[in-house]
Amino acid sequence: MLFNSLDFAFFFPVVFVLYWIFSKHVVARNILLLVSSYFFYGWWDWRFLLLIFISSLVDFLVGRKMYRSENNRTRKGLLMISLFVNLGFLVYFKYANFFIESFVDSFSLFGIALEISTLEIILPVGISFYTFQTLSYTIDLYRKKIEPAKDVISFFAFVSFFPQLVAGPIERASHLLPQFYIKHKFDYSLVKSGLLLMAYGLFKKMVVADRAAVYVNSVYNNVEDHNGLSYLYATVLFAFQIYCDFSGYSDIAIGASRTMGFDLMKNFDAPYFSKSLTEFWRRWHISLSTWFRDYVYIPLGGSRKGKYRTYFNLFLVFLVSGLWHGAAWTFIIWGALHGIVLVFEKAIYKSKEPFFKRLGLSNENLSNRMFFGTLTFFIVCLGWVFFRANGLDDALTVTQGIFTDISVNEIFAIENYTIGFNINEFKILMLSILLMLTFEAYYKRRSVINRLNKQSVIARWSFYLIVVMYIAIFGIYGETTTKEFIYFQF
Amino acid sequence: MRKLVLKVVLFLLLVLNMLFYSDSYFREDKIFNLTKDSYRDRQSDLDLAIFGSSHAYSTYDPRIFETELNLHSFNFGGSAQRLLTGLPLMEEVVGKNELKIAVVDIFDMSVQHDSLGENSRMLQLQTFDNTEFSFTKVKSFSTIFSFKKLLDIFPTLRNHGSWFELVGKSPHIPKDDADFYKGYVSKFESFDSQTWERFLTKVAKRKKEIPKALAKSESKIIDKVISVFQSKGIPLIFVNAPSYNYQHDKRYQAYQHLIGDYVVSQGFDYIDYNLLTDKIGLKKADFKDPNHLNPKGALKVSAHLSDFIKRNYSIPNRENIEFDQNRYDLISENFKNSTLKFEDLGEQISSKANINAVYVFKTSSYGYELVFRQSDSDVNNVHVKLKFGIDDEDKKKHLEMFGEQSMDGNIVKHYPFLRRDQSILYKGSRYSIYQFRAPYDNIMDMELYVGPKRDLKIFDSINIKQKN
Repeated sequence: MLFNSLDFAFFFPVVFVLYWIFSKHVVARNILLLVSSYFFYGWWDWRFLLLIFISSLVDFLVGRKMYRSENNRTRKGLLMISLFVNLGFLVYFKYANFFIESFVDSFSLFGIALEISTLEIILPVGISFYTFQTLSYTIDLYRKKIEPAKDVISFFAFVSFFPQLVAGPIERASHLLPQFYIKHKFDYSLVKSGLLLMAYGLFKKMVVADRAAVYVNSVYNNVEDHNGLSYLYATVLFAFQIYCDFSGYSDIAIGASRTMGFDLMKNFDAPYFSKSLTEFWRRWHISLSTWFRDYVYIPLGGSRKGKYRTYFNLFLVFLVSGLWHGAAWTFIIWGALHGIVLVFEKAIYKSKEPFFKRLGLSNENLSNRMFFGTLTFFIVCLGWVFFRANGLDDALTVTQGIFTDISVNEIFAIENYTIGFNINEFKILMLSILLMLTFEAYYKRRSVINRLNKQSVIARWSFYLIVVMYIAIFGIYGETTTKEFIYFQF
Repeated sequence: MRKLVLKVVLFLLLVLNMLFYSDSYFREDKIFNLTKDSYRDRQSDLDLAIFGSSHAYSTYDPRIFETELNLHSFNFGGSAQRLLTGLPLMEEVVGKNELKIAVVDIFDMSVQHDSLGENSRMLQLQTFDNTEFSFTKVKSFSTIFSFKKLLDIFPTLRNHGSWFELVGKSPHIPKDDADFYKGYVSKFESFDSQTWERFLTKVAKRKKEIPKALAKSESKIIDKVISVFQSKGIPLIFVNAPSYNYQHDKRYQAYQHLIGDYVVSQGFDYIDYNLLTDKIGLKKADFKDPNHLNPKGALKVSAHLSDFIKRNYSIPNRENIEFDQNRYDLISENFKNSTLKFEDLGEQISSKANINAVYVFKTSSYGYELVFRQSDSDVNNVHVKLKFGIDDEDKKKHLEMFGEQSMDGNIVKHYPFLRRDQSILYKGSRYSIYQFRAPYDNIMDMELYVGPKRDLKIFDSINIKQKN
């Protein structure tokens, strides 16, 4: 079920209340979490439950055997079983048709038509996320960094934990699993901050992401009908759409977990304020980037095998990251683009640092921050073109249009701002993006939440009511406009 | 945890209150908004309330009940309103007034609320959006729309996507050709043969099976309606407005018999006006369309119903009430409270223009009615020209009508749109009715001309200050 749905609005309070009723009995509480998580996941399609069950069971048994064995070959073999089963499911459900189509297309380049049809496969929601989560468990066990799960219930609950099951954050067993062993004490301030975070997530998803999607979809789904300026606007709006959609989901996941005493890792840290792509990937989808760092980049050698091997490893990681995001060449190109820029940054940073210092470009002053921040945002947006486009042709059309088809006169043409909706909707979107950026810019420095808590109860409650009514009036929801979260497709 | 639960409940109550407040801004512009708003504006304790669908609101004219029975009356009929939809509304009205009698219009559509088509369901929203929140409303809404759509009970949440169009819109005003009075809505028109043919084509596609008995859900909803009024000891009359199609529709006839037999078996009066058309003299000219009466027809049916109530129910009436916006009451009182009164107009006007008196009175804040008492009751129409002056202040507020170029310090002469004349026969005289709206602060130098060439002056140089 979706977080922004009536179903979840009934589901979550019930689970929350039952959770705290059973909170003193750890086993009962974990059983409740497991049952409710399976209920949550099965709401999409009950058949998905079989996959997650098999995945969890294999890793639980593999984990136990691996821990008891001292034989490295046996342990490696068990790890391979886990990798084979989990990645096997992932590759089959997510990439089988992509490989079949690519195989057929590659032959068609030589004029050979192969009569191979694709399979009818439904992609289980969240498979990319929980697969990586369980793999982190078995890999860390193999590396002897953690101990196996104490009991099957807590492990199954860890894998299927509903707040973060379908779109992350991708948790590490070392961080999340121990939280299933201990009693959590009811903490009113944690519950309150969790609920506020959920409200913020809903604001980002329903008001910003889904509203921006109207414009973005109108342009990207009809590329031939638009010009360079609308491509540019749609791309920038997509940057906010995907950020607010994904981080909104993460906020709701983290907030919901927090109300139950669980601490999930931060997944986003105001990424659009980054001054380099390297910094961007320390702030964007942190759980995934750190997963790739720890389980792909470092095992490949990381930066320990010389300059060129480092560049290769970095590029390969992002190529794979692109593939993780979707079974299409546009995602692979997106990953490759990021990989190239990151390699470039790594290459020029060390060697050119004295040069930049002399030019005053490496100081942390406002003008440099704005310049590099804007440049980074622009580079990220160019990558988003490939991420969003419905195919390579559209991506190239949009890219070309952004660079060659923008007329300054059109900046003032109101039609470019009202694609898919009217000017008032556009104004609300701009206002909402501004509110979000202002909040995220000042969140850490000005301790926004602490300041809010210091206000009178009337002021605080008035603020909460305004937020709720703002979402109720300006949120995109209803029969024809309910939107799934973008990252569900991964 | 207890503190949290209490705070959450309190917060949700606050959110609900905010939604109730904002809902009035997010209602779509429909005629029932006007009905409910005018009911709220009047604030008087009702004696007689009428419920039902558009059949009700076009048939039972509160003006007649006020005049004949001296009772504060209101018509709560709503488009396509089912009894299930009207149930919370009935509870609300009964709860807020000391009703002396209630009238419920009932026919086959009223008792059917399962598997409604999309259009019918949407029409129920007019009534729901204007009924206060209650458990009955939630139950009715979720029966018609399903539990999953329950949040749509709030216009704010349902229509939030149209926030810019809806918020800040002016309150609903009746269309220029509508005759509106305390929930009664109709038009001064009748239908032609083309309309009749189209109607018959539409009716031919409807179900034809003749029901043998009322379904359980149908009798159950009638019981629920009865219990609302019975619990307060309010006399209740069931009626069925006349349909021009009655003779051609066997299924409709069968349903009315079943409904009538059922309510009579429960001990209530039932009047099917389809069976009284000859008695009260209803003709095709009394219908604005095959299913709805025009004001002439409404006058006949309402007069009969008020007479029925007078003869069969001992309802204590209010004494000495004057209904200044009610043409029938003004006629009965010889227009003593009308805004303007012109009688003994002379032989020339009487013979050439067929008018021997003119009365002008207000029907709402900016609405007026011109009533012409005709010399010859056999002649149906009179010819009228009305104009008055608008100053710059008023022109500024209505630029779309007058334009920037009219801001020249001069008083511009304005010819208001006069809603179509229709004559009625009441208390032995024929009256021609014209209505117009004058949404201006000042009406200056008003002039009225009548006659075939509209050159016979009734009055001029009349000034009316509408706003201080």
